[in-house]
Amino acid sequence: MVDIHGLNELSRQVLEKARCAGCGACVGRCPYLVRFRGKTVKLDSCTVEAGRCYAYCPMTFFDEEEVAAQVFNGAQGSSEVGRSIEVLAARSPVEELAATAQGGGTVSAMVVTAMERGIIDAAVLTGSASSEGFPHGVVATTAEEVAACGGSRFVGSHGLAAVKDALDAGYKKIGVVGVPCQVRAVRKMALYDLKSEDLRARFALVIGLFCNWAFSAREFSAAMAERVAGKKVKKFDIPPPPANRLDIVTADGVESIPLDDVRHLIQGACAECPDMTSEFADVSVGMYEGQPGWNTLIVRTTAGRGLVEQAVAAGRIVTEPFPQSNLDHLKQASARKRQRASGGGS
Amino acid sequence: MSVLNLDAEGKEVLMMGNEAIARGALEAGLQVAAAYPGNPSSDIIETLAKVAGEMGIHVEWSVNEKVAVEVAAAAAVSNGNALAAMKQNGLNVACDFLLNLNLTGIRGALVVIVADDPSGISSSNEEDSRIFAKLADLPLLEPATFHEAKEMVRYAFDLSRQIGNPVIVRSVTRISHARGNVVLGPLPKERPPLRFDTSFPLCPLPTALTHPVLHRRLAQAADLMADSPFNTYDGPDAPELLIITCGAGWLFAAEAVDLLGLGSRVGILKVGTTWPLPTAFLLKHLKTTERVLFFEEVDPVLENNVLQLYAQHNRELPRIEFRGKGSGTVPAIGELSPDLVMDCLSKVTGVQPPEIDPAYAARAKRAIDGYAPVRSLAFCAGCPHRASLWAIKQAIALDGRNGVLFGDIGCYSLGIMSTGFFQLKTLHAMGSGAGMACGFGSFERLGVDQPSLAICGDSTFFHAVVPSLINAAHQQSDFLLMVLDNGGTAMTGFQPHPGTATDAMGKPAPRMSIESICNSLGIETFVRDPFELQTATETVYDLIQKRSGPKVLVLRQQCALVRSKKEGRRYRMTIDSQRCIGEECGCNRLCTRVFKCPGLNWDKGLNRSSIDEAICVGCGVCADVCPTRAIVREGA
Repeated sequence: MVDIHGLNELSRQVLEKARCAGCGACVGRCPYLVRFRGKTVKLDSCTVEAGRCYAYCPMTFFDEEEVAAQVFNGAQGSSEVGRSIEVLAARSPVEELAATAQGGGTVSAMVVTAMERGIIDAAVLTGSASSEGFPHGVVATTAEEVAACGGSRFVGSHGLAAVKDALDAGYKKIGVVGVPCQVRAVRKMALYDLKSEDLRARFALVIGLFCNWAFSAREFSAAMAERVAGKKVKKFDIPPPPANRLDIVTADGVESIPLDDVRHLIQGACAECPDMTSEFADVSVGMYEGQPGWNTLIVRTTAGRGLVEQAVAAGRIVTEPFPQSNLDHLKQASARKRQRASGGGS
Repeated sequence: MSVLNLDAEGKEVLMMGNEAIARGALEAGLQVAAAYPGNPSSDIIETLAKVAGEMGIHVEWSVNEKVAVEVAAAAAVSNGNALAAMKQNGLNVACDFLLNLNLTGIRGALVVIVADDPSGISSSNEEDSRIFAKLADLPLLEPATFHEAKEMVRYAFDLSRQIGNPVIVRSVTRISHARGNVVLGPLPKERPPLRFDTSFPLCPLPTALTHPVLHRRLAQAADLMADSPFNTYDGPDAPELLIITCGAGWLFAAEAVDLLGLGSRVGILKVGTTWPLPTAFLLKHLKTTERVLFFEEVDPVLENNVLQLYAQHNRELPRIEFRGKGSGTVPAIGELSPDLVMDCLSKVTGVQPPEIDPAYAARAKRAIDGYAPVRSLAFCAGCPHRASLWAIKQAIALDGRNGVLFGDIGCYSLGIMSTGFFQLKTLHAMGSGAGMACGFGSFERLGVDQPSLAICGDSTFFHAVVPSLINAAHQQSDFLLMVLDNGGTAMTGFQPHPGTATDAMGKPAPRMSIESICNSLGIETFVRDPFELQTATETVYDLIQKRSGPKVLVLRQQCALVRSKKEGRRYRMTIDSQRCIGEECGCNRLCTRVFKCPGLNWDKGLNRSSIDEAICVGCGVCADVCPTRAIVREGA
């Protein structure tokens, strides 16, 4: 059994050590934990001995075996990309979904399918930057709302803060789309369910995204504001390797910064995260290197497989086999992240 | 007409010690009085201000104590009768001037009243200001009763004029704030003409000439006071024990001797002219005993001076056992009380205090408990400081760099305790918060990354903060000063200050604008209403992100006591008990356990918060503190 502590311990172990991943799992669970300008903030000390904030945080502890037993009804396995039923190449042929997408629009297509087929009644997604300049969690219930959330954010976005909103609103079948730390947090919520909110049943679908690292939202935003000096940022992009650069798209055009110049803005949490491909999701989706407009799709659970089949049947996604050489390459990249996390160099 | 300027010689009236002091000054022909408020001294100027018009005198609340003494001294060097009043901290502020003025002397009369606060009941510190008299070679008198306070102040003017130097009168809380009978004396029909004699400058240099003059003036004072009626002895010719005491200590000692039935064995020598010592009088009585016990408040000033006198005259005196603070018989700190003095006296004499009837003790306790309910030191309901400190607390937490809030002297000093969410991290003298924050904001090159913040009140701003701001502007220190402007000197009783539109005498006066002063120094200055919690919080947050020299944020909202009288309730507050999550909230009752406005109650039966209609002043701030929006504002 794991030891579950409260907010003060969360603060000592995670917040004060700058290990917060910005997933948003703890935000709003109590009035003392808020997100402010891209950072998780503890406003007061707290006397609760075992709290959801500590229990659901992906950085306090993560018992892979217990989670795997619940999600997969079995062990996680030893593959570098985690347990999988099948790995595919996928993309959405639907124009409006592909338009905002970072890759092939596969995620948006699957979420819309899940809603349409009644697999989920609401989806917790990460929306684009608000007027404050920071991405934030969104509870989406329509295809338009889903489409508006397409694209990558590159920062710790606290998207899971919207899980609380979805639960408070009474949704019974909630789908969550998140990066690996967020997938882990959602699985911890279902496993420990400290307030008996029937979370295992209510999280009907978890779609994971590939992620190597994310910038700290507050620091990244401050640095970028200085960089573009008043110009409005339309979006950020990090082209696939070997580009090794960050593109800032403003009304005046694209400004590129070498990635090495902004690496210091990466969240501390990301350096110790071993999970590149969201290994505990129902399905995981990432870029398909060398194939713009396509995604890599890892089907991990039967629920995930069911969704993919329905999305294909609905014509929302098309799939193709994923070449072994690309899978080997993906496994190498994933293994490198694990190695880095365990302190084994880059 | 107030009792203060009642022209009825011989009439016996009830007066507060501070009123008696003011009356004594009027009987001496007072012309100018100046002070900065500070308890326990504030009422002196307040009472004088009320009769200033009728009496044709100049009374002012000066910007600080040094200026107050300078204003008073301007009259005293021009043949006038002047008074300056302050608390012990004030004398610290004024003493630089006082320790030059003593060398030049004056050409009129100047009485400096300093009201000490033993136990620091309404002060940040405990301090014995009598030591300054010795330091400055100025006479110091200590009244022991209310009538004596009046008489002594009147006499102090005469003495000051005779020796040509200021005279200090030291009061303490129990003299200044208690009441007793005072017999009125005559009010003078004429006062000396005020005129500065320009034929000779007043200059402390060369000290080789002026310092000996100062000593001669003190010696002259000793001569003049050798047979002073303020020094008394009451007791047997050869007492077993001689109590030497002064000030409020005399009241307590007389009571204790009476209660212990020691009148035939113990003598009480009261010293009123504490400095310079009445040596002949003291030597005469030291010859009659072999045991001495000292009672005085705060430091063993009289005790040490008498011991020095004894050492100088030991050949002509008996072997004496001295007990007091030095021997550990009397506590080294704090206020005296009748009980404490009786205990000490009982220990020294072996005479037990009289038994108290248990039924009476129980009745007394019940009466006291009913009269004064137990409560912690807290901001009033609807106090804008609570809102300001909440905003500051949130902003420091949201920033996450462990910002430091340097504190200052005022009601908001309570912010060092739970009522201010423990936000103040330092508390020293007036203006010190800004000064220290100015320093801390300059240490970036030394690796300091904690934001530097300071608070001060509006009155403190004028009193001592402006020089720190000028320093900060010049040094480009990265710190944020927040002026909690509640529209007056609230802690000491709403005295006006340069930022208010009236003066001490109630006349219209030009209002100094805090933001204009700051702007004129080139400091970015903002004004917010602390009741707009979110805006105030975000402004504090934004300002501590900037690395661009000092910033000032005026958090302006009237003192709750003034506002509720003038405007009544702004909102009627209610609790939506469906929304209130009670003990689930912020790990247990955020509003009543952390925010803790006295207007909010915890309803144990309902397990929900409730509004105390009698106490709530309807400021509406708690509605923004409640995370579940269970506290509701309605138009009043």
